[in-house]
Amino acid sequence: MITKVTKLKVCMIGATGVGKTSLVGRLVHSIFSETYRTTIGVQIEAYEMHRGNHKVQLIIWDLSGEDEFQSVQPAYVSGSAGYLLVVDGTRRETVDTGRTLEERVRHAAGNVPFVAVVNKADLVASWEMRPADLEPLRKRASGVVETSARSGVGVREAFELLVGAILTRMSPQWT
Amino acid sequence: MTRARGQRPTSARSSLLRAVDPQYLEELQSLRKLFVEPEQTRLEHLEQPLSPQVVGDLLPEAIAHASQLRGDGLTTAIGKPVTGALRDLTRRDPELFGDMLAPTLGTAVRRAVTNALSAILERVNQVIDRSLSLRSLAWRLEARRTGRSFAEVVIAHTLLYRVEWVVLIHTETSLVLAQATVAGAPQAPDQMSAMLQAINAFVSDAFRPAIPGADLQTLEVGDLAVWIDRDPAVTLAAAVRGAAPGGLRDMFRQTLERVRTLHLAQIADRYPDTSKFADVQPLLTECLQQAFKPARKKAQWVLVGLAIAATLITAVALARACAGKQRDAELRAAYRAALSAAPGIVVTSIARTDSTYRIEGLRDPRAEPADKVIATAGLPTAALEFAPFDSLDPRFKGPLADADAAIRELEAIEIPFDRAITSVRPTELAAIERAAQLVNRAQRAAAQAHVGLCIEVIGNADETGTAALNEVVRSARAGDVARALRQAGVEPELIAIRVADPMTSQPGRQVTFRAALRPAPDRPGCPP
Repeated sequence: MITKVTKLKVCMIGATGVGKTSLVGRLVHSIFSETYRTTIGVQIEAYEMHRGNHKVQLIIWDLSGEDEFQSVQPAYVSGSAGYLLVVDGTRRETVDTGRTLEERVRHAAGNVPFVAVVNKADLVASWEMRPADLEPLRKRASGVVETSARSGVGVREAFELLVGAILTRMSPQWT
Repeated sequence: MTRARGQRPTSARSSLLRAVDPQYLEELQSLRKLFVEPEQTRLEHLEQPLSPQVVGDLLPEAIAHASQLRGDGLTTAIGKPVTGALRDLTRRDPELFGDMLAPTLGTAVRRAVTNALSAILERVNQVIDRSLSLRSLAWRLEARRTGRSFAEVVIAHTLLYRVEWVVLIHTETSLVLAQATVAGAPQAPDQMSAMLQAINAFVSDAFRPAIPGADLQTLEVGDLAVWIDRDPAVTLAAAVRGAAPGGLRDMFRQTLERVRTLHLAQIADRYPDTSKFADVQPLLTECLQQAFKPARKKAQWVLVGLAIAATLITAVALARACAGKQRDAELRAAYRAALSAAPGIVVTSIARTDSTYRIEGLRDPRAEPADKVIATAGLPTAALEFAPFDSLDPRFKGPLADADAAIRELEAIEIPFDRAITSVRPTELAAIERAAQLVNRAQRAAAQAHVGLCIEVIGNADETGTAALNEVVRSARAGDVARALRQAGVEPELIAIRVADPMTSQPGRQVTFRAALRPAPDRPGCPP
């Protein structure tokens, strides 16, 4: 029996092409058109998970990726309870972009929990990234999870880890 | 080490010395007491916590003051403790609470029942109005044509405006705290509110330079508008269909302020607990306002007017029909009365053709002509067809009646002749004498009636002999009777000798009489 319901705003942050939308797509069926992401830079999804008697409703802001033409809109990440910082294992530069984004988000949303997600685990043989590259993020992140949007590996675990970190931050007794 | 008073310090060293000099400190304290003691006393008094006595003295005036200046704020502020106190009282002493409610319970129930009945009657009136009017028929046709439900079509045509849903949003996180809906609830309200926030940020970013504090206030989609009232803590979004009055925004703003007053702490929380906002639901429900267009009385009046006009036209037509019928009946009666009043005329039928009347009946030749009777009565001319008859109307007594009676008797007399003989038998002289008397009697009566008289003596013959001979015989026999009449005293001018037409009359050996009254008494006798 559900005794408590908590709503959380979380964001998907990362460079262009790291697979943020694909990761979200593993969990939810979108009700909005994909064109929103390309027009106003964000698409809103919802995902529900349970932790015992506690129901958590995630409102996921899937932000368009950072590149030379567009940057993260601070208003979009404001009020977030946490976020997934997604990098692409096959492109080392996405880690640098991720570190930049992490700073920006921290500036706009405050020091909220985040989980570093290394996507494209199914292409691990093609990874350019080395474990040491993630060290700066690992120090500040609530965890680092390797995922594959193609196979679904690690996706749910990444969100579970993020929600656990957020709830711990909000009220330790909830976790 | 002392120093004379009034001597000004000349160096930092001497100042320090004075600072530690007890005498100098004492003087300084005295000076401070002299200058700031009243203010210090007041400050100390203010720093002391308010005593219950002081609060009690001020409380009534303070509540009255706050009620005047911030009525809603005070109501909201004391609403929660008062509700808690009542709830506690009800739990602890339900009998006392029951005693308090008992006197008002009957009134409340009566009022509730009255209101419910009024609402039902109003709805019945609306249903009748919308079910039996011409408009409703048109709407039903429209519903059938467009495939929409009848209710949708009615609302589309009668709705002035309606607030379909209201959502209270935590501005920073764009999470929905509470919502109320009457129709068309937003799909996935949390996602919708997040998208509103994103669109607001997008618009603010797109139209630079951004105006501080300026936010997206209205989204319009067809006849549906989303009104957004945003402040840094909470946002109220309402879907309004139709043309709502501007005062509705004030209502939303007041609702927002009441929510802020009620949940000051919760909305300041970075992660607000949405379950704490259940008491906001009634406030949001109050925002679900709607108004319908007033009933189109004009159309009803037009209908009433048409009905009255139709009634009047029908009444006029009926009146005209009745009047025509009455006129017809009156004319028929007038014709019948006028003609029947004339002696010797009997009306058997009066029929109306397209424009005239056709009157049929019997008319005694002695009677006045029917057309003359009608003209004398001032009635319209009519087609007349009267067959002759002998009237026994007593009004025909008098000269003409006497003449007529004499003629009828005369015409019944036959004077027989022997075969091939043209002279009157001696035995028939009495009949001749009687005939002469009748002729004279008729002549006298005709004279009195100012009419003339003609007596035709008609001779006849049997079939024996030639036609020429018989013609002679006929004429001779008539001449002999005429002679006998003259001998009996009949004026010769009255007598005309005729022969029977063998083609039209039966052969026979006799002489008969035919008499006729003539209208021209100045020319006695028979026409040539």
